Amino acid sequence: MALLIRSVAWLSLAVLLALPALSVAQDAPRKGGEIRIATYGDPGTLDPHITTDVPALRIRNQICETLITWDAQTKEAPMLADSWENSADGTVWTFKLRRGVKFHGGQTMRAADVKYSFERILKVSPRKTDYHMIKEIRTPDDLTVQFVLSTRSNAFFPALAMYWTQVVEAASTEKQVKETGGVSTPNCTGPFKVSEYRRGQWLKLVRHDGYVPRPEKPSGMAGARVAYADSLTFSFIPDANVRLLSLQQGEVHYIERVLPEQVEQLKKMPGVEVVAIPGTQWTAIYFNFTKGWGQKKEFRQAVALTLNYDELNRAVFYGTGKPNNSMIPESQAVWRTKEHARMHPYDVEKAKTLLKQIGYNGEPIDMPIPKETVSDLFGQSMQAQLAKAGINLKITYMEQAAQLDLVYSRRRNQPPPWDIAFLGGSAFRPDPDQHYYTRAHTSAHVGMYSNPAYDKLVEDARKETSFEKRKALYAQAQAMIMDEAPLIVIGNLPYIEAYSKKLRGVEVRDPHFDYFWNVWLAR
Amino acid sequence: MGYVVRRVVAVIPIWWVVASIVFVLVRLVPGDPVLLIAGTDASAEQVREIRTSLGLDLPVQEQYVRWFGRLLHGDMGRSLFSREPVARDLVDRVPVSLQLALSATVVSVLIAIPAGVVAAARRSALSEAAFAAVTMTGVCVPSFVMGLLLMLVLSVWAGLFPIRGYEPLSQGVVNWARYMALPAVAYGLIQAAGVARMTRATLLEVLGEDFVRTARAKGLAGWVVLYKHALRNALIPVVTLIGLNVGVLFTGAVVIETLFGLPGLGAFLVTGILKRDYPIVQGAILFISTFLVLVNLGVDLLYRAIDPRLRRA
Repeated sequence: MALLIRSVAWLSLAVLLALPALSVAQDAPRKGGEIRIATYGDPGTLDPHITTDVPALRIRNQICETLITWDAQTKEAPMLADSWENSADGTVWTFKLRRGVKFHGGQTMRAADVKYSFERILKVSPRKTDYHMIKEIRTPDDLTVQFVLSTRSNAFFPALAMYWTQVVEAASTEKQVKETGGVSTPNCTGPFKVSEYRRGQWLKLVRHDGYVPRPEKPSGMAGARVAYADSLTFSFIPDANVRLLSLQQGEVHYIERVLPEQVEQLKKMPGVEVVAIPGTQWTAIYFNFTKGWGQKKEFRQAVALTLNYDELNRAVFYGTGKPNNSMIPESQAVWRTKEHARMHPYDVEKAKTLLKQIGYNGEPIDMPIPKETVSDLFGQSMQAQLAKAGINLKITYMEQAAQLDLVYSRRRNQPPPWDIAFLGGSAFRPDPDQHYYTRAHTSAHVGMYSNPAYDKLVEDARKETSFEKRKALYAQAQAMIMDEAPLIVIGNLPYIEAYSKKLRGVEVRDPHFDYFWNVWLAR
Repeated sequence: MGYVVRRVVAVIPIWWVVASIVFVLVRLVPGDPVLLIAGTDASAEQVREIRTSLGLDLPVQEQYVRWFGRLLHGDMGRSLFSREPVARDLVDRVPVSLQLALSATVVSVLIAIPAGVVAAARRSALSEAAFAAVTMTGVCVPSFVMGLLLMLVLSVWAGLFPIRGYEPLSQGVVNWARYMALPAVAYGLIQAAGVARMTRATLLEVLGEDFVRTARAKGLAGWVVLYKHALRNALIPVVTLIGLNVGVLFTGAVVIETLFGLPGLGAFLVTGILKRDYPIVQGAILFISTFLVLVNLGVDLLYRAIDPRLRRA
């Protein structure tokens, strides 16, 4: 009897110990299968150097690679380049390329391919002016590329991680361009390659068998990339309800751009995971400095004090976004300081006092917004909030492209006609210069804000080479933005995606960094 | 024959006027494609560069001459965004829209004409009320609601059809039909309501006329009077409506195409308009207007087939 009890006890213990091991075995990455993804937009073209829009780069990130990339902290990390160094005067950048990298067509990557890619970018990319400091590209040997710059530049190095600098094979690309005027099948180095593209319908990628993952551990876009799935199929489904139905029916494993109001419904579906993360894009309002009440600092501060950022996030994004008054999102932690975490306090009484001081008496404040759900929710919520301090916000609805045109009227050398401009989302930019300079410098603010002290700060930050000193300068710039309020950042837009629990290894990220390597289908 | 030639030749000036109007209108609408390509944080220099590289910095009249010159050589230009040739997209997408428009028309005619005839021939308070209720629902339900409903019931719950997507006819008729069925029914049902109401109304009118009474007095069978005498005369306005519908179905399928993932013309044109992709808008509208002119011509020829009196006129 004792023997029986003892053996049962041992057996139970053995089973208990084996259980986690068994579940680990089930969860262990496995190769094979087709991962089907519902994306909202057709990339239109797969040419890596022509487009800069999100639907295109979400797909292209699986196919093509850049010299350097970002890790989980948005810090630059090696990808096609193993190492790099900058000359003492800052004008020569030397990159050592990774050995033995194969293109989809089987060719081995050489320095000449990098040179060709950058020369093409300088010719055809909508972003080519970002690389105008490149004076010459040298290739001392097959694995070394040297960029000679006309002047020292802080913008150059981070710009090499941007998706529109993906490296293509020179000879086959040139042949395609000559024959068809563009690149329809990019010959890149990524873990997946193009198999078939049905325009307007779907795109199928298959594993690139010649791909050798980097030796480092995966972190964000950096490190080892392993293509577990045999293939990835991206279906272009513009309608969010249809994307949801497709996931529900099991037609796809992963859906992009879930609407905030769909989250609760998805949470109730068995076998479905829904994840919301605050992204890197932000929403903001800008004031007009050429006419009207926006010229008065008290008025701008009153608006900042009356807006309830938390409530806006709940009203528009069902709480899935992130209230944030800084141009640098939380996910870009390397550049954040205490100053970037500070929020405008909510103080309607103080706002009323400020408005009284300047004699504002409920005159209409004009704000054109695009006629689409998110902007509309923002507009109406802001209108209700500002009314509490007696600010009379008047909303004019416009079609999206027309609204954008009106907001950027200074590009047509016309003064801004509005009082407040609403901008629904900024793009992800790795360097703070691309926010603090391009959004609020005298040469760039859409409402013609001009402050020599602010200009000097961001110009100095542009020239400064020490990371710590730049970080301090941008903290000062942020403090000035909070005090002067030439623009008010409201918060970060959420990214909500949902996927079948059969998919393992998924990390929902800002779409600029999303990928399907290191993701596998469980049995 | 001379009539057909005259009508076809008349298409040319219409075509030129439409092309020119579209060219001007799309540029008059506020909104700047360069701003959309460059992104909101682009510098003034970047904006200038892109404008120049796309040839949008040239005076409008010069852009017009260039565009029209190329058009005469059959070159519709390339998309400002993807830099892909517009003509290739049109060639890919037009057949899809055409298939959808024709399938939906077939669905609507198959349902609407028998329904209209029955409603006109057998009149009772109950059947009239039922007919009015059903057709009014058809007229009032927006196509995306009908589409989502069909998708939910027949695809998600019953699993009879794929939710969305498209297979070309070259992949087999059955496969093609599996994908085309739901959008064609969703789209056709809504069109059917209007056609059925029109059939019933005109047929009732014709049935009240003297020649019908005469035909009956001659002792002809009820169905002969209904089909050979009355229906044929009642069809002229119905055919006009169906013809107009084909045009609307062909060009207005944006919602259905988007919903069911059909790579057709509608969604392509709307995206082009939203992005101010001038070559796409110009190319697509030019194509659509040519098509509408041809459909009108077809309808006119059909009148002459149905009503011999028109052949002599």
